[in-house]
Amino acid sequence: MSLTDSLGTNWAWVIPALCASAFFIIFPIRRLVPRIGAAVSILAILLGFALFWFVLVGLLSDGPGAYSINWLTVGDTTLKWGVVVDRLSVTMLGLVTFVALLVQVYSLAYLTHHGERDPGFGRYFAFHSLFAAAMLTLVLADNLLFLYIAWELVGLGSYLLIGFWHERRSAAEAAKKAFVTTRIGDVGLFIGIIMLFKATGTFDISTIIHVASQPDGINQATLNISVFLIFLGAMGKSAQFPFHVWLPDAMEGPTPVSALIHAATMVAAGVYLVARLLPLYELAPTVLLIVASVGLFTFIFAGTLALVMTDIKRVLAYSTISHLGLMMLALGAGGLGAAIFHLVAHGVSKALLFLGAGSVMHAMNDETDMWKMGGLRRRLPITGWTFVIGAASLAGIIPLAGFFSKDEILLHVLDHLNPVFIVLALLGVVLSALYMARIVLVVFFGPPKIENESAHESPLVMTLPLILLAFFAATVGFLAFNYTNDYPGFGGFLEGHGEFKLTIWLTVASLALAVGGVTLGWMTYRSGTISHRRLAERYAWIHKLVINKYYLDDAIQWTIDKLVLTFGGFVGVFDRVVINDTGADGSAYTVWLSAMKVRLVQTGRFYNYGMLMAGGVVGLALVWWIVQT
Amino acid sequence: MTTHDIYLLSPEISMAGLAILLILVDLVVSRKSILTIVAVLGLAVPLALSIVLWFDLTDQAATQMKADFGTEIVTFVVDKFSLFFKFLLVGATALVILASSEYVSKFKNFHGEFFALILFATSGMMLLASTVELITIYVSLELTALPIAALAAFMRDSRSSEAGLKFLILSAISSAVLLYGMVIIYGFTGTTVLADIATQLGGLLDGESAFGGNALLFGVILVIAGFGFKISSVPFQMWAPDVYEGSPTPVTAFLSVASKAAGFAVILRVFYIAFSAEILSVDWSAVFAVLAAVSMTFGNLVAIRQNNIKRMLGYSTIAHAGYLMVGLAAVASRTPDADAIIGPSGVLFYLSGYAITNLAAFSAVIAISNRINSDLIDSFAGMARRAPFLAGVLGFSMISLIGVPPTVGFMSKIYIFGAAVDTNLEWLAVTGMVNSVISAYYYLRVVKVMYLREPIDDAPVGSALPMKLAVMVTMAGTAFFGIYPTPLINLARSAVDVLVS
Amino acid sequence: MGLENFLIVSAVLFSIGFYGALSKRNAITVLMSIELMFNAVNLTAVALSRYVVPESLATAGQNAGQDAAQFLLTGHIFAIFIITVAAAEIALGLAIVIAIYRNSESVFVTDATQMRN
Repeated sequence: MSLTDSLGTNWAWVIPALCASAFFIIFPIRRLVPRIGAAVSILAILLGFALFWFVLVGLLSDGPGAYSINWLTVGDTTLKWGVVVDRLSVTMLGLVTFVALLVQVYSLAYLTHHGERDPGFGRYFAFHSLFAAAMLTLVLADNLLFLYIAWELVGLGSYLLIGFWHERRSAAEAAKKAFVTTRIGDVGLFIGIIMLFKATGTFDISTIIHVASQPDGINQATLNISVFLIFLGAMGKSAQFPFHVWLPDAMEGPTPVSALIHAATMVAAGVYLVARLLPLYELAPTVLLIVASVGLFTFIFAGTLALVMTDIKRVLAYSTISHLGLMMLALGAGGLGAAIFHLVAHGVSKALLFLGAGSVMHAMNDETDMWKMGGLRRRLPITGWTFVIGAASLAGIIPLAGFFSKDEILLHVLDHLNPVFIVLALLGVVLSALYMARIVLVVFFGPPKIENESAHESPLVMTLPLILLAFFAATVGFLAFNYTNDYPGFGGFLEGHGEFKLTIWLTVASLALAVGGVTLGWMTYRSGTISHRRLAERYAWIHKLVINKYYLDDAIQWTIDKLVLTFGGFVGVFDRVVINDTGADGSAYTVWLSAMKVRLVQTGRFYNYGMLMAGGVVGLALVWWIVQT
Repeated sequence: MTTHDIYLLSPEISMAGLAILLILVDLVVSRKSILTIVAVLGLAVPLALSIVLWFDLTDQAATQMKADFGTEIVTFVVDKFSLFFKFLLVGATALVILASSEYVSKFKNFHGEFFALILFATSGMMLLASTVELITIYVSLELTALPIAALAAFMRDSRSSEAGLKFLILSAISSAVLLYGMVIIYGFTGTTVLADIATQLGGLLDGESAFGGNALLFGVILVIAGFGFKISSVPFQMWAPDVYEGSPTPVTAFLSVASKAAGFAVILRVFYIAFSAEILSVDWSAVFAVLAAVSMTFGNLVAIRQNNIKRMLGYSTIAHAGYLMVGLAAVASRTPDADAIIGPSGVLFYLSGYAITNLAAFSAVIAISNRINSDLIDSFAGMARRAPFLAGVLGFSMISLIGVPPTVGFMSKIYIFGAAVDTNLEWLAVTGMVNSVISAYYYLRVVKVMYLREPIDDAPVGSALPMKLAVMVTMAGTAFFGIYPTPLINLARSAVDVLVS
Repeated sequence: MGLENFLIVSAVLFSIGFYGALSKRNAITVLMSIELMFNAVNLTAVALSRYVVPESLATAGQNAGQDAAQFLLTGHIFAIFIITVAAAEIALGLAIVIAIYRNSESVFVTDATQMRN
């Protein structure tokens, strides 16, 4: 008992430390004894998950805690490394350790094909530990700088895992795309953090919030700009429009990676960041409105894309983007509890769906085209029915988790935002139900296709995580109710205040819309009352637009190709042509140059280098004079 | 010249002595690998003497010990600033020598001379960090430049000779320009001692035009041009890529680290002592801000299209000169309440971080390219499989050069951009960030080629023990100071105190 | 003879040297032109030492209690150092030119353009 007594919130830092040590142990031995590597990794995360419960108990009995050590002293500024243990971070802690644990167990079988382990087996688990360490650090960090470091490490882990099968060119490209795209947002995040530091003199999150809440604490313009820049970082990580382009490509990684990183944890980091800084956003209502708008737009935009994709993982990816948008919308409405509740519900459900998709792919030799599947519920019964539960949860069918969390979000949107938002959000609910119905009906129902004759159910190591996740996807929602007086529902619990409430008509409406969406899906993809093929032909241009992802990927790629590379090339050419060959070719314009030309047809370099230096001196003099006057 | 003067000069003297010793040892031994051992162990002497001086300085609670060599003009001082650079230079030289242990077998003879020239150049750089008088600065500068020109041409094949010639001629031109500037400054102030220049300038300033007249302003610009050449700042950078590409790779490493460090040492000394008046520093810091922005942008953009890794690192070094100049631009007089030493200490911190990182990168490049006989980035394909450790170190140092945590490159970028923000140069900090993103493109390309491409040849690439040692030390430094940079920052801050007091 | 004359001559000399260093093909000529630049600097140093310094010393240097003679000679000393170092520079330059000549049988700097872009 004495050990369990002393185990409390003060042990929270051990959880990421465990995973980090696991990484350092596994990485050197990854090739020699990959199986031991996997065991170490799973053991570390299992211990972490066990510790989470002690931390949770400690939190409930002793209240939040914060622990830090001095790290860096620059002048009169002292930077600290510290962890903050409160309800928000502990919730995330639980989600991350739980999903990571299940995904790692699942991966044991997923990376083994016909009794043969993937050559990168050890490396895979090393990267998983690295990612888990970074993600847990991010969740626990008490200051923005520390958080940013963890944030970048999470990006690195994601880069390494997306590119896990780096022999495949597409995987390598996707990894680079993910890294570069999110880093664009990270630049904003970093500048935002520096601006807040400059305004308040600290990176500590609670101090920043405290300073900002004082009258004249932070200049309003500075606050607006800095929190907007931070939101850019969140948009990058959480794949909000227009930074969403990397997430579907990231599906090139192994499917368990998609389940962990690109569904449950890393992409939620942006939502978590905004939630963590929500008091700041509430002081900047303009930005909060932007958050809500971006979230809502992404919710619907990605929903339409999920409706037309044929690759099972891409459908799930767009669905993830869409639901992340919904969480942002909730935060924009000030619904911290609702957003995190949905984060958890979605995390569990979407991890389930991805692992289910992985199970399907495993059975079908990595086939991802939905239309080649069909009737799989008979061949893969456990996968099939757990998948149905996950899909129904996200479609918002009572009494599964997604229904309750979505409902809370809609309540906040109704209460705090313009009516336009609620109308559009309900449209998004329909879309959500529709594409979930589509994926389930196409993949698991209907007549079995020839391609999947040899498909068979996955081993227990893979189905057990599915069953556990399905259990939680079905039951987490019930946390929403206020069972005792101390517990005001999940949202209230997280925010530390507020009470449980219900608006019956909205609940009924959203449920009706969700069921309507599913029915529409049934009519389209199962009974054939509505022909989606004819619809696609009739409105061909819309279909073409959507199936090409609104040409957004192409546009962004074009911009990168044309602008950046051309510019780089231009400077290279400038260096070559203008600097080196002016004397040779471009000199006929003036007498002076043509006089030089006689001798300098081939000199090229010396003349140019020296001339540039002379030009530099003159240029400096000019700059100085201009600055002077 | 008293014994005390000799004592103050002892690190430089022992360094030059070691160089001569190496030439002599080369005459008598037949196993040339002994030379590396003698050189590395011998470097312990100047290092130890510098440490003794440091503790002596602390004991006396003095900021500076001056040597006047029997005249009334103080030309040489020992303070924490100069000792910081001496540590850095000796360390960098030791690593370069370790890393070149294998490379020198390419030369048929003159192994001893190769090391001796490196050590002579180092002694010049160490002098450069300590001098406070224009004539001495010039002589030290040439003591640095001439051995490097000889080293650049050391391979004596056509590319190496070309590199040597280019470096020598352009360096001579820049020296002439620098001298012209120095002489003009001397003419206006009547003295070549930096501290006296500051006093004399005090009387000339009228607060209307910079330096009290355009002629003096022109002199200062010429000085900036001369020093700009040494640190390869745009627009005086054109020599760098060519010389980097043509020189023997260890010399390239030496150039990019030690030579640059010495250049910044002398710039800090000259501008913080001679032109310390507030009205002046606002002016020259603006010039450095412009040069910084231009250098980093130019270096990064051109580096994108390079195929030769040495040349790519040559452009990268131009970009890093730009980042470093951010620290020069961040003078305290721009803002009333700024931390007075944030800019110069940022330069020192960044320099040491850059030195460690770049030496790690170059050690790995030397180790790999020496075995595969190619400097092309494409020939590094699949190196992760052929030489996992070296590829890992090279990849890690690329990450550090981009400025991604947990590396010292990240810490130093934070510090130096923070200095810019502190002194109201937010635009420069933003330019720096944007540039870091651009630089990710070509640094990651190396990582990509090493990790994601199929190897041309499956033969593993090994490396000798001294190479491994150099690579491991630099790699460990990059990681350690990336996680816990406080000791290095404190050292840098205590070193620059003497500049602003 | 005023100071201006010296300064103008040396500035012209410096420019000629600079022009020569950049425009001549023959590496030896380039080295000679560089020598010209150094000599222009020497001329300036010596001229300034002779003309400018005593006046400013009369005000500041004496007050500081320093020995005026040392300041008087600074420019000259500067010139001597420059001459010495320049000699070393040229010696090294010639050595490298010989190395280049051995490789390519040419002392034209225009031929030394292998590395570019």
